[in-house]
Amino acid sequence: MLGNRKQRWLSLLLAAVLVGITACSSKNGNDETKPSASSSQPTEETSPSASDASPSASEASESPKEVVKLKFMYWGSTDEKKAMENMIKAFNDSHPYIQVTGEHVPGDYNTKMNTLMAANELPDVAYLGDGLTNQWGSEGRLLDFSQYYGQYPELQNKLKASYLYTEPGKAVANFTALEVMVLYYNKDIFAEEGIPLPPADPAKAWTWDEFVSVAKKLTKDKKGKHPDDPGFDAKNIDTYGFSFGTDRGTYGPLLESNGAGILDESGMNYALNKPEAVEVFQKLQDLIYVNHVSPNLIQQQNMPDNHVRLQTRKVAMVLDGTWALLDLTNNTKLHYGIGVLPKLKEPKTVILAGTTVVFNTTKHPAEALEFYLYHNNPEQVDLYKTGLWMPTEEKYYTDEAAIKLWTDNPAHPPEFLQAGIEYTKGYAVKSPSTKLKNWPEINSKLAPGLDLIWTNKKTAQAALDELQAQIQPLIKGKYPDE
Amino acid sequence: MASQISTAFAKPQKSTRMKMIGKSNVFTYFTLIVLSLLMILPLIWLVRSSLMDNAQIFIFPPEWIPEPFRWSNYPEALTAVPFKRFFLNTMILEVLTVSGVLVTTMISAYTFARLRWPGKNIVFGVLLATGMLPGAATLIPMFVFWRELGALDSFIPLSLPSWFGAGVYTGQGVFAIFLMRQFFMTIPRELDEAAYMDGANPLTVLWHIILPLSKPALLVITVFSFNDVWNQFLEPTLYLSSEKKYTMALGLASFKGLYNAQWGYLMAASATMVAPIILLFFLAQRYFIEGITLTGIKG
Amino acid sequence: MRRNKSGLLRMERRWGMLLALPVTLGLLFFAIGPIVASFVFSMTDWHIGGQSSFVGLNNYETILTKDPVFTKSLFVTVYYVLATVPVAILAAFGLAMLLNRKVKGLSVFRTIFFLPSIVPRIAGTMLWLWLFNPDFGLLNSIFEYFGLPGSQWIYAEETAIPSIALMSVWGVGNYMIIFLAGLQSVPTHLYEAVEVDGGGAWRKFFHVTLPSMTPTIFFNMVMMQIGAFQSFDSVYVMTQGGPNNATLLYVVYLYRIAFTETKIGYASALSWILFVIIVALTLITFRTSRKWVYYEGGGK
Repeated sequence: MLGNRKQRWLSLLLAAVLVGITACSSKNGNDETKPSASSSQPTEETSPSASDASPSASEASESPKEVVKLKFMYWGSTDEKKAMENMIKAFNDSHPYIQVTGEHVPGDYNTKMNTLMAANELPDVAYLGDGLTNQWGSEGRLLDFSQYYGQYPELQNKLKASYLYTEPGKAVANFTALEVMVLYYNKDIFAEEGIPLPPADPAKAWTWDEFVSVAKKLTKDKKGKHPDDPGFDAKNIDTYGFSFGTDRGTYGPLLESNGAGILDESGMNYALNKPEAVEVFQKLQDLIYVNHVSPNLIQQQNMPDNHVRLQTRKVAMVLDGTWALLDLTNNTKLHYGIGVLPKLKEPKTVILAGTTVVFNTTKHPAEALEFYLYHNNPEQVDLYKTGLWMPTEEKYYTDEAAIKLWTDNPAHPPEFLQAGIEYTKGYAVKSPSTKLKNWPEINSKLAPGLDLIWTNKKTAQAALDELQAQIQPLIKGKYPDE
Repeated sequence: MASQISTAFAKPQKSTRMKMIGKSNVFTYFTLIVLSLLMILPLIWLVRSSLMDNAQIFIFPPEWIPEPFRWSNYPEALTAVPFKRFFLNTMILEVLTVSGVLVTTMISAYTFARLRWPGKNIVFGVLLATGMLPGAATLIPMFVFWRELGALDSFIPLSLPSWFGAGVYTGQGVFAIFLMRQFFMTIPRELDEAAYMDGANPLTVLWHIILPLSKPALLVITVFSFNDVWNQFLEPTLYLSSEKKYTMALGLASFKGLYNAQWGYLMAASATMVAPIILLFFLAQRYFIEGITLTGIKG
Repeated sequence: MRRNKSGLLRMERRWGMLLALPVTLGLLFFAIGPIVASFVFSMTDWHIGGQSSFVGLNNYETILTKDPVFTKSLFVTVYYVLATVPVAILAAFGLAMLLNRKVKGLSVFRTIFFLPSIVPRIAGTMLWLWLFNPDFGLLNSIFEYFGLPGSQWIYAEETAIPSIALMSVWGVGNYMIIFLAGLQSVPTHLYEAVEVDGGGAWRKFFHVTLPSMTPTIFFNMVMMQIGAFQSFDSVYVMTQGGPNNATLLYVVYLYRIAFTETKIGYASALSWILFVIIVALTLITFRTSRKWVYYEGGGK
């Protein structure tokens, strides 16, 4: 009967597809069933030659020592991915008994990492945001480096500010690379206006008033008038003197510079409504609505990346991280320079960066650390020369030859020696947010509250006072500095 | 004739009526063209951005003509990540998933719409309810489930559920079944009953009577599930970990880093990726018209 | 010919359950387990990476009594649903009617109107960021041309949600296609009957098209409702819930709790509350549907 034929056909189809799926799964399943084996399969990113060195063949007969397999998870653009792939290949070639598989996660890294943590399916080594690093570090999920200082003394060679401690002496992570906040500017605009360039020497950092007066000279409306000129049209500004983001990268360094903080010294009390903190936020609000040298929140959210803002003369100075050097240098139509941030009391900047961690679930902590020390070594990774990264190891800030190794290139203009290296070495502290316990939760209350300042709905004092009730209950203290 | 309302069968009789129709057609074209401009903007935006360098894309006010035309974005983007491989993977996933969706949707919708059995409404209700819990809630349990089955880093978690009326995230398959059920319900029941009396079984009826009447709906489901798989991002990110199994959507995302993005490449790859879907849809929608004729005959 | 009614029923029962087998298995394996698990999570204080302990209904209590952000995001979401669903239904239906006419270049028009649904979201998002740009955006330029004051669109608390709703309506291509397929399935003999009675276009619309389309309208309404309550990605990319949480759609808040603050227990409880809300609304829609949805097949 017709019906039976159709029925048979359908069930055959169903069966065929099921078999197909199962077959293809068992192929994958072979080497992927157990977490410990999950890194056995060299992916393409470790490059074809890595599979020649693939452990499985040689393991049994030739090598006396068992090959250790590690999995390394990271994010980044294709540039960064390529650099990591080369680094992994070089590592695998030079370390025959350790085979690292890199897994580059495109987008939504946090969701994946959280899922892997929840399912206990973690890689050995991975990039991680500072918030999760702190949280998982204090929950004992990350390898405590201090236990391995004897075995790997190089672990101690990094700049002090680049370690994340969850308890005194317990270092659970190191920044993957250093990034500090600096001032970038369009050299041409300064030349045309005949204004001296922003200082690169941290000791000569502008005071806030100097900074504001320069910003005013750089700000021009459609008719070429400056903010203090009569008839200045604040609604039609052609070039803004300065633009800043509204996140911790902006208020962080200024709070530090003014001796203020998100919390007080004890780390147990909300301190953003103290005078020195309010001053910072009020000054930033004034840049927009009183001095008219900065675009408001809406305008600035709608502006392109900073290098384009500078190039198109929409803005003369921007506040950004050192990672921006890569894009600034690649923008060949732009003549940019680097300066230090203006100071309120002391010249200061903050380090804002992601970390690399070793998870405690690793079966091979020693090998993981071996790889750890290698993965951001400036001799192996070219991201330093392109401007995306700054090294974490101390010698790259002190030793002449070592400095040259990563800065002697177009991505690091001469003033970088002061505004980059000296600034980082002598004036950079960890971002206050990185030191805060429970920062992700605090920030999800803080950011909406600060929007009221950026949109001029409230004065800094009023907005920050109002936030106290919401943030105080979330405060759980600070992490130690060493 | 060409100027008629959807009912192609009405015959214009009076000249005044013709005029009216002519006027209303002008209105139709005007509306269609104005709205089309708004709808086509993203595509134009995509294509012009795909031919620019990072700096020009964001210039404000926007520039529409690339200066210079960076054709090299295309070859560079498509070789920066192994897109050929990703395309193949995506197509495999499409075949595995879309065929599952179609088979399961047809038989499930048929049983929910046209057969009487105890517990039907409960099963359908539960099925529908699974679509109402946010996917984020079941993300982690689903992941653990597949890990326990040893199916991580394979296409199984991404395709197998579609054969059982479920999606990769809980409740995804509900959409198709519910849609098909609604369509099947509009078909007169006498058709099946007559066939049953002749001794036919439900699969015969489904195949010979119901399906020919449901072509438009089937096409809709095909296009939607194809598009879903094509753009699916979160689940492949979670379940796939070797690059050689990545899909195109993941390849696309790799142009956006944490600190910088290669917008020109991103747009070039997007444009390349969207072309097949547009073509697929363009071809599929022609058959909507065929749907009329068939319905007309049967009705 | 009508013979053996009980045999027919037996046959339907046998086949009905057989054909429902895949879906039932799917529910058992891919849905019930994870759903129960998420319910269990919702009664713990589990932080991803940390210990978890059973806290009973504490999370629910906190959410319902002590979480102002929850209240705000629920309000924002309901506002968004109300602003989106009716307009989107009308827009999708209207477009489908337009595209169901015999006009030249129909295939091209249909494809164009479907474009917003298939262009990668990142391109769509960037486009709308520009359209909404208060200084240079297309929308304000048009307003200016007609001498109207501009808007701050997604950047002001007051206009953020209507702006997002506008963007959602723009992307109704999927629903338009469903309507279009529905229109194709309207039996033509019904139109002919109206013709014979001398009825015009309006009569056809109200007496044939609209009644025949009620199952499709019903479907689109239910799915849009569910979809709108769970809207997430465009907003997540464009505003991250700001300014001052004015666009904090429920699921955006849920993601923030789950994957930024890693409070998966709390997030699961949030999911279940949303689940209950959607189920209740859908039930209401189904109940009322009996009054206005017309199935030619006569089935329920």
